[in-house]
Amino acid sequence: VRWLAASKLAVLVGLASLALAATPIVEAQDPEQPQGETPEKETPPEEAPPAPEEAAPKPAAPKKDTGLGTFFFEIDDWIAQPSGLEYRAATVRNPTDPWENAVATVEQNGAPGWYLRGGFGLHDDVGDIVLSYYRHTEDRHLESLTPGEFLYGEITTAGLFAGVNLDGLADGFSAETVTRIRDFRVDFARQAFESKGVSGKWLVGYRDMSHYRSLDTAYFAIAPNLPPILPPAASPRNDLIPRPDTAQISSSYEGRGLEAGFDVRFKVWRDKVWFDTGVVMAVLQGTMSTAYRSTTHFYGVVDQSGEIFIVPPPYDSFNECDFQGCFVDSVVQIATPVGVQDQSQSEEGSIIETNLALRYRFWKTAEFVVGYRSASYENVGQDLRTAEVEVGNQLIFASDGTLLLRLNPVTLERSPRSVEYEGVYFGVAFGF
Amino acid sequence: LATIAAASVLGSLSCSTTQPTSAGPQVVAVTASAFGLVQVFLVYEKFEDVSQPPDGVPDLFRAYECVPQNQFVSVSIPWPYSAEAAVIRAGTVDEIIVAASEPFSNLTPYDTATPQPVSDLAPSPPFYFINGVQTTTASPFFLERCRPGVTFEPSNILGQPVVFEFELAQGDTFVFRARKQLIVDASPYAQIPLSVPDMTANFFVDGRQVTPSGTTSDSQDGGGFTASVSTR
Repeated sequence: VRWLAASKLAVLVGLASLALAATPIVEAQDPEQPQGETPEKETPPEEAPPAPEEAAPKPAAPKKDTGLGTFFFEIDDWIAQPSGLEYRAATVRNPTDPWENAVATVEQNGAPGWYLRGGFGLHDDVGDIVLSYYRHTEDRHLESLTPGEFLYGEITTAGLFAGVNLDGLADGFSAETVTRIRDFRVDFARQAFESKGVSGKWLVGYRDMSHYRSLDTAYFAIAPNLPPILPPAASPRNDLIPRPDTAQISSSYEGRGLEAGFDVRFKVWRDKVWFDTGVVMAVLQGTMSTAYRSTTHFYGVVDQSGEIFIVPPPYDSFNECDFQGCFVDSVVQIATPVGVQDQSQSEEGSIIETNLALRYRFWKTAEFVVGYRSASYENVGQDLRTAEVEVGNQLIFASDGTLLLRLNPVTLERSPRSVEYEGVYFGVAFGF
Repeated sequence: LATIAAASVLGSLSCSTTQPTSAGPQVVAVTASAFGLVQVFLVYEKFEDVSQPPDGVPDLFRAYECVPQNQFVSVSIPWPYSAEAAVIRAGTVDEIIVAASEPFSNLTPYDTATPQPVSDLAPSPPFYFINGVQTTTASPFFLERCRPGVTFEPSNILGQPVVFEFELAQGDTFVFRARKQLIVDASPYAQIPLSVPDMTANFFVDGRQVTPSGTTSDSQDGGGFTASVSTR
């Protein structure tokens, strides 16, 4: 399993090797009676004397016992769009109605990814061993900049000292999301019934999946319109250019468990076209690791005893000058970081996967597949946040000279997250 | 597989589009002025009747007679200030300084109102006070005649005479900040206003006056303001 999870390439190479190894066996078999046939894709339907008069259970056709059975693999390009991720990056202030602020969410688009299936049918129609592998990575970016117009609520930061005016608002934000999933399953499938034009299979198996999600946001004060730091103030004061407030929320889940499902195949036209549908449900037990980081900033003055005074907005006091200088000369920008990590919590997740597909046998044991698949992964992510923080009392100099005043988390909040992948897929299947 | 790859490419292409920008460059312009309370003066040409014996006719110009009035008006006054202009290009968050002045090398406009004629002052033979006008201490007319020996710089803003202009692309943001000189630090000019100069900036985009974000005026001694305007 670990080897297969290494990469798609590894899977392809592995399946190709299996196919090559199976070639002599295939030649020895009766092309009209492939042994074992997976539910949805797989086998050479044409070789499987499909449904001709399959009203009754498949007759025990004479088969050569090779010790193995028929091999098959299928490669699909699944254009899946993740949804339900709830990557909420910022609120958008409605200037006229305080009850009608909008939410800016990082939306995901459909991106293609390989969905690989392969395996072999055991001889004497005992059943099929089916391996499936899917991997999908989605990186998205959302940015909105309105210099001078402070419209965006910094909803992912810890809240305290958020916004250049300490009002939680920014005039621009940028959000990056990363969503990754890796899903591996190995199933045993066996025919449950077969009648004229319709056949069904049940399946049970093992599932191993991992899911990673992260939302990184930066909130800007692009045009803060602070009082000018010009003579007689000591300028330039690049250190007073508002630094962006930032937040990172991420979680990683590793889960495994058992699954069960059922597939049904309908013959549509001769032995050429079939319609497949199936559903699989899995219950997972796994570990969740979550992390949260937030950094906000404020302007302050530190006296000789080390006591910190917050300079409140609006910063008119920056303008106060006398013959000795200006007040702004003593102002510094202080960062207030806070973060928390929670490793290896035990969490239960679940998966429901359904699919519909149309299959067309275009050459001997080769099929073309077009379908729609939906896979819902429940409780495989978590957003961890600090709900309440307190201001520390120790000022720290970071390596870059930045002044840091730590915030201490007091209470935390967790929000379970799920993800659903759905979209069309198309591919090819071969049997040997 | 080739079919799959081609379809994948098509799928990817269909998911990303780039909207072209349609607006051309726009010109942002800013002017700055300062207003203060100044005293009204009557300025006369002082002539002397040098005829012997005096014939009552002014003969020679001797000087200007500047007569203060117990009247104060708020007018545009020349006041030194520092200024800086910056631009934030569309889609970026970094400010680029496009113009900055030496400290207090900018000067707001003078009181350019045309002096109004007034009746002659009663003569004090052999001197006659004629061609009188009413003006203010912020007027170049007054300063040239009544403050001899003091050099008055021409008004300017970031090196340009009265209007600073800069070309912006769509979505760019123009930031202007200015700070007045303290009264205590100002040389002879500081004697001109009787109140703290109230400085104001006006912004125009393609000739139309716009209301920028931030503040555009300040009435504190030595104060300043920062304002920005974005093109859409």
